[in-house]
Amino acid sequence: MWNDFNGRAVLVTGGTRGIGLATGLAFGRRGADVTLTYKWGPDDEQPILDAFAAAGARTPHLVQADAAHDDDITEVLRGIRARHERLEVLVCNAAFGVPVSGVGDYSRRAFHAGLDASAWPLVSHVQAAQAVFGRAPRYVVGVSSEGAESMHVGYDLIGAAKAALETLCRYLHYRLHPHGTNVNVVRTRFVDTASLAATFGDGFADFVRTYEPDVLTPPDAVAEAIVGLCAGPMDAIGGQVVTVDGGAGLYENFSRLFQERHLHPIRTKETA
Amino acid sequence: MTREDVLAVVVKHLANAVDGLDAATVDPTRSLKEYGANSLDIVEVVSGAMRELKVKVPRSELNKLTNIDGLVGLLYEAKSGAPVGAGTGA
Repeated sequence: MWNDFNGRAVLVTGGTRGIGLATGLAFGRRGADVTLTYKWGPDDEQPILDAFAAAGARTPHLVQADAAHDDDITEVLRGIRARHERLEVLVCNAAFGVPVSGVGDYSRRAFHAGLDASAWPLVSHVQAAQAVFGRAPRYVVGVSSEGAESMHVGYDLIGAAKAALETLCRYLHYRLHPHGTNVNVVRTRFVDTASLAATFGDGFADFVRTYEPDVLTPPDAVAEAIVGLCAGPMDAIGGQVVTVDGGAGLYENFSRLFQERHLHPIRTKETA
Repeated sequence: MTREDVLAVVVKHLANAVDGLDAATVDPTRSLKEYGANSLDIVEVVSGAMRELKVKVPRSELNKLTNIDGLVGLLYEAKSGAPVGAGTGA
């Protein structure tokens, strides 16, 4: 049974660029009334509005709200409540973390900042929705990354926050599913967005493309997977972390690189 | 609200973020980094000031800033609507 998103309320945090914007558009194309939050704000909102119009979607609601501040999200939800009796979908995409270059950069404060912005909102936003709407959203989807399980340079504390997000997803689904809510997380790998560049450097996406273009997941692909988890036929999937990377994580390894070594000149650390 | 009021807000948040900083010694021609603010501190100073002043500034404008005076100018412009230009941090 496919859900009809027409006129349904969808909230995407961190929704004015990258995966968040793609997700908002994906729901908007299906008729949803989409609210996008941002912390810093786009330079110009018009391109976002134009993108929704071009997609035949309703005009989105762009609202400044810091995911780490409970008052902000309550205000956003009250605005949605003025238009809808229920929040159909909550996508917790907003995230923040401090890249580190060594153990000396670890700090309790930086650790907590990552948790506050990237993991805890999965809980706090649901709690706020319960307070405002009297019940949790029908679907809750968090956006995680492979860094929750694998090492990526500088990603130490961000990865820890993502791991916390994924664990909270499991328990939150257990708590909420009896009451009609599905909670899942999509785990991305390398998605070509401004966040990727901010985390790994401006040339990172081009570097990856040099070796394997398919490794980069388009934001739209992540967005469609999120919609899929909320579309109805996948309602038996709950409390899960769904990897959305086109399978790249399976084949990015030395055995493949060895087979393709004729394509990529390899220098050892000794000859570099 | 005057530009000096905005500077006071920024300096307050900077002093909260950086241990041991004496707010009275802050020179707005210098950058936040020069006062020991790391990336997390800078985010907290800027977002805290924006929240207190109830203004929003696009990320791209924030990325151009090189000193405290530039940040103050941007926030003051957002608050008052009076274009004053961002500091260049000479």
